[in-house]
Amino acid sequence: MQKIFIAIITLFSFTVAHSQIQKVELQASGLTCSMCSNSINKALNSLSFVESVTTDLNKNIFTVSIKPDMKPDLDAMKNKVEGAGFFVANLWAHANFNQLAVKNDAHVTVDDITFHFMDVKNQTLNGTQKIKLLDKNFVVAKEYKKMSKLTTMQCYESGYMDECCNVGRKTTKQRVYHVTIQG
Amino acid sequence: MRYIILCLLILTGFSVHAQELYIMSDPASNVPAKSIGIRVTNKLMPRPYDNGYSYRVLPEVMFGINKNFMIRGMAYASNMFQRGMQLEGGNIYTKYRFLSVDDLHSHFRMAAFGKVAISSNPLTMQHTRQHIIDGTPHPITNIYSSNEIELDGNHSGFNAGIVATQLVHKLAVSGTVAYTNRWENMNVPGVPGISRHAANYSLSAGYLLLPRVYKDYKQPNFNVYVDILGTNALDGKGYYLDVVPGIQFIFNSISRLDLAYRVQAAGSMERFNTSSWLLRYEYNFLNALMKKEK
Repeated sequence: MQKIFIAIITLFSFTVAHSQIQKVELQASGLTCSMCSNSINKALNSLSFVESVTTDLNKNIFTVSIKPDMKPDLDAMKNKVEGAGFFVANLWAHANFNQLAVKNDAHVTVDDITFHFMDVKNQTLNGTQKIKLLDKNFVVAKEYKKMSKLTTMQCYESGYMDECCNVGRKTTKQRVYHVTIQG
Repeated sequence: MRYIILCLLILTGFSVHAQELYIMSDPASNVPAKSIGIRVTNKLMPRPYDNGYSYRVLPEVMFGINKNFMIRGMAYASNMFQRGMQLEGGNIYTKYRFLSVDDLHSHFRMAAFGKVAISSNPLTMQHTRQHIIDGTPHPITNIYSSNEIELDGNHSGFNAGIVATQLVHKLAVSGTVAYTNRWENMNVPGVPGISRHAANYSLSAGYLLLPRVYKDYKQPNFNVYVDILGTNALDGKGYYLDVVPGIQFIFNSISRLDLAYRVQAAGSMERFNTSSWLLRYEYNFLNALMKKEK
């Protein structure tokens, strides 16, 4: 009986793959003064899922702590930076994974979030990983152009799932986050 | 790490704002969306008839509507044309950023701007002094006129132009070209022969002296600026080229204090004054126009 109980528990922990983003680092481009950084700092702090923001004023990197049990809206963060008059040059999310099998240039859905991993080896993700967002307007133009060569799937251009992958799904467009693993 | 910022001042002879923190003009960048800023500018201008100065105060309020569009309203009052301070009029300035290409250490931006101004000032300055001849005072009235179309107090009219700002490895270069057209001032008779329209251009540069390395938002920033401002009357009324050195303090990354001295380096245009001092304070309310999410 005990053996069956342990087996069931073990089965559960291996089949329920999930991810949780606790921290996001965002590097803004196009600014060089602390008053400019302050406008981004205040804009990010106004988002409901943000616990706190610390700034590296010399590198223009904003480290955003996400409130526990809340999901960050990365597009909303980018819109806040653009509203302040700047752009996102780099965004890294520190996410917890639990036995997530990922394949290069393929979709994987976890906790209702669809990721499209690019430029990675096929692997199983476990623990905290630093993933870099590669979507348009989350990287500088040069980097977007370079990354475009690594996939032929249309979703990288639009940020949304194309018809080829949308078989049998709901009709509302599904956002796809294109990411790579950063060390 | 050497942290060099070249914030460029674009001098168009008009008011100023921005992330590039210009004293005498506006950059191609915009103010943050949903922000409100307030400014008070003070100008001291030497009088042509004695060693005194005229004083003008110019309060402003600015709104960041969205990331590309801003609008700014200004009022002005001075004792330039009469004893005592008098409200002279106001203007509205708008700017639309239509291009922004950003890389990590560089950006190129362009914006179009326009200003519409009204002023109730006379077009000439009059001063009467008593000239003593054989013990008898004889009043002599001197009339001073100016062909410098000035839309921040002196004249009614409009101005429109394009500004481009290039930031490369912390060196920012800004250039402006604009066209200015003068209307008749409110409730005053026209004076024939005064310039009706002009072309304006400018080039600016700035440098962040302190802090050398940022520690936090509370550190005061100290910037130095130099602007070159040129105007050519389009109806043969002359030209001028002004140089404007300036210094700026930023407090708590939210407010700033500017001090600048403007002086003519070359020119043939008749003007009320060929130099002036400027002192301005600005405070920003970020997210002031935003609906609260939390």
